[in-house]
Amino acid sequence: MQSKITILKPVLPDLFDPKFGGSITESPSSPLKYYQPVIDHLTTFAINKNFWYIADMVEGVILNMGGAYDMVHGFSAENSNARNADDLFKALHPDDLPLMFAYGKYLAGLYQQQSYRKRIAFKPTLYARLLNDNMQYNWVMMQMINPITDTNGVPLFGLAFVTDISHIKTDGVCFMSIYDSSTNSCSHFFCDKQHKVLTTLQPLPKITKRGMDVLRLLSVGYNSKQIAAELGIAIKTVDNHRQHLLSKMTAGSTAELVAIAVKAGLI
Amino acid sequence: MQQKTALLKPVDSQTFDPRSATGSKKNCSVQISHYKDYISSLANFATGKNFWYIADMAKGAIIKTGGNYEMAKGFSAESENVTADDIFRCVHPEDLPFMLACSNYVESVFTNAIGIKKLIKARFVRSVFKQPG
Repeated sequence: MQSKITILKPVLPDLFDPKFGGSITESPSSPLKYYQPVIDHLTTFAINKNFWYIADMVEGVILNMGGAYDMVHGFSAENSNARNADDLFKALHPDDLPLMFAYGKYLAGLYQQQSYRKRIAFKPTLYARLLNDNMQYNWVMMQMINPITDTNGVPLFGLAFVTDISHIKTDGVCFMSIYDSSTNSCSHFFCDKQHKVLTTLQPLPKITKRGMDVLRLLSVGYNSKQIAAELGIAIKTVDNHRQHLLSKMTAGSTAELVAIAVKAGLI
Repeated sequence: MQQKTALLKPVDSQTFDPRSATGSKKNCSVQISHYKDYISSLANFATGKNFWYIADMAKGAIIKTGGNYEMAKGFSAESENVTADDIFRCVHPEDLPFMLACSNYVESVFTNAIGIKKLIKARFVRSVFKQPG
């Protein structure tokens, strides 16, 4: 089977909006009614303790929920419906949260680029740690099942099936896999932890537009002469930009400069 | 969540019998169509490429298969008269004695009359990991 690995940039909590901006142009039937036949089959396919929820990505709330509430700290049968998405995010491991936001954002963007048939063929699964009522983080897998989207592909509602997999996964990293059943291919998504450290602890220096042009061409192996020809500037000017970049990024060589820029997500 | 770990003895493929020791279809009212709904729901829960089969444990045979046949060497949509041995041949030789031990364990749980309520709640998952390379 074809498999592809993509590295994404983590998304900090204050930059993530659980409302994806979709618009409901026609009155949909109840999402719960739509998902009920799938929900009815969940226990048949469960490999361990599990719960499900329907996410309303227009309002950023959890519309309905069922199953083992004690898998999520602070949730119960009485208080689970119409809860803010933040309540669920709070139960995710703090190290996994920016990664989960990155995967969620990527997924929302991916749906918008695809046809309805393709969207239905995608089977995304996210793996992360979730705080339970015993104040223990357990590895879970979150299967996102058949999202309801608007005509532009923006997700409106989605059914998430969350299974405790602490019996088969006890370590490793938070990641996402997307199985495309139309092509029998699977893509894996990870986040660059190094990048997270850079974005949270070390603000990056400002780089001019021309500096970024030089940086991009350096990263694909161009020398000063080739960059000068590509950008229509003097070789000496290119060398000046290179020196500024080395100094700003505290890099000892062009190779190190490119490596830092890649890790920081600049290129 | 309560977790229990049991260590089983590997079972040699020469001594394993895929036919249930005590199974009898005399009182069986369940038809193959019983699985139709489940099969049509499988795609919703796929996390990767997959296939399914219905095992006839009284005969030790596979009576129906579907999905990505190429996942199991030698299978195709046209495969007929597939036996349990055909599946076993695709399992990694080092994993097979463990898979057979698990099968025996599952059968013993079923036949030791754990009660229908418990039985329908039980989920048995056997994982086979393909060796790299």
